[in-house]
Amino acid sequence: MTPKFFGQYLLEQGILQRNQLMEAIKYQRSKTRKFGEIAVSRGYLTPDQVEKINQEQRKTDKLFGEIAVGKGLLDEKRVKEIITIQQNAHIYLGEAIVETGLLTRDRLERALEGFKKEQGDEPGDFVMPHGVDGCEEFIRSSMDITQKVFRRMMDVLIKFGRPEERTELTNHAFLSELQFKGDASHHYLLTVSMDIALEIARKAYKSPDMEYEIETVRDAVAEFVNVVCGNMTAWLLTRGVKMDINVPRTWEKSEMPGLKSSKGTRLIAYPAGATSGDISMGVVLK
Amino acid sequence: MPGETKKLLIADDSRLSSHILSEIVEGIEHCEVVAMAKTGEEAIELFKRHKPDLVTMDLSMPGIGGMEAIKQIIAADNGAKIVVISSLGGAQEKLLEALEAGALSVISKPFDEDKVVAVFRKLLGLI
Repeated sequence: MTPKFFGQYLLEQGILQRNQLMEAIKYQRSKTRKFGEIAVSRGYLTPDQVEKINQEQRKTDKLFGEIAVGKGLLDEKRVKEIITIQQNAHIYLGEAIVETGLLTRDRLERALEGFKKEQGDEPGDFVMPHGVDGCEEFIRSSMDITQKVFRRMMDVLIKFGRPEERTELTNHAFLSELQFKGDASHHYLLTVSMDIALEIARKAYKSPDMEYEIETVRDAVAEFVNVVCGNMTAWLLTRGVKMDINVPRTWEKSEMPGLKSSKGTRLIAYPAGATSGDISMGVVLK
Repeated sequence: MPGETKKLLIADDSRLSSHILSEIVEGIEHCEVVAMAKTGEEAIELFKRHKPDLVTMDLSMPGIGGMEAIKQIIAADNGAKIVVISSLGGAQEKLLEALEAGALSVISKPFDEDKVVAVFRKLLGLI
C-alpha cells in the first residue's frame, strides 16, 4: 500500500538475495548513459565543457541540459535528441535481472504482478490550493500517504476537506511536526484529538484498554508521522523529488508552540473528517 | 549451533516500534532481545558489547542516524547481520545506500509482522 522500490519487494519476498540485487543494479547502471557522455560522443560538447557543466550542476538543482542551453552550448533540438538516446539506452531493473540470468522472464512477470498488487492504487484526486506551483507533488503525497497510513495502521478512513491558507493551524490534543530537507525544506504537520491519539497508541500496542500515559501516546503519534513522512519521501523520489526527513517533534496541547506562517512561508491546512475524532493536516511550504 | 538462543539488538528511537519489534522477536523460538538502542551511537556501543546475531536498524534517529551506524558496525565486524526497518525503506536511494553499507535486507514501515518474522528467521538460519 505504501510506495516501495521493486528491488525491496524482491528482497522482502526472498526472491533475490542482497548480493543478487546489487549485481542486477550494477548491471542496470552500466547500461545507463550519462547526458554529457552522449553529448561528447556526438561531438556536441567537449569533455572540458561537460566537466564545467557538471561542476555547476552540483551547486544547483538544474538539469544538465538546462545549464547547457543556458550557456548557449546546446539548443533545444539537440537536448531532445540526447534525451531520446538516453531513454533508449535505459533498462528497467526487471530487464537487468533477466539479462543477468537471476530470474527467468516468467518468474519476473509473476514477481511484478505481486508487486503491483501490493502497491495498490495511484493517489486519488485532491483539491489543490491556488498558487502552489512546484509543490503539488508534496501536497498530493502528504494527503494520499496520510490517508493510506490511517487506513493501514488504524483501519480508519479519513476524508479531507477543502484546503485553506491560514496563518495558524487549529491545534487539537497533540501536534507533530516534521521538517523535510533536500530539494525543498517543507514541513508536514499533523494535529489529532485525544481520541485519535489514543486510538493510534492502542492499535499500535494492540492494547484496547491501554491507559493514557502522555509519553507513550506522544511517542505513538510521533512514530505515526515518521511513517507517513518516510513513505512520502519514497513516493516523491519516484517523481524525481529528492528529500530526506528529520526526526519529528511532537507536543501535547499544554506545551504546544503556536505554529504560525512566517515571511516567505505558506501554511496550508487540510481539515479532515474521521468518525472517531478530529484530525487536521497541514503543510508549511518554503 | 541448533537450539542455541539467537541474540538481537533493536535500534529505533521510537518506543512504539521497539516494543512491537521486541514482541515479534520474543515470539520466535530461540530468539531474544539483548539490548535496545535509541541512537546510532548507542547501537554501535551496544553492538560491540553484546555481539548480537542480528541488528534491526531504523534510519531516521537522533545523532549520527542509522546509516552511519551501519557503516561503523560493519567496519567493526564485517560479518555483522543488519536488517534495516525504517519508514524510509521504500526510497530506492536509501535502500541502495543501506545495502552498499552492508545491510542484508530492508523492510519498510508500516510492516507486516509475518514478513518481519520470515526475514528474521531466514537471516538467523532458523529455517
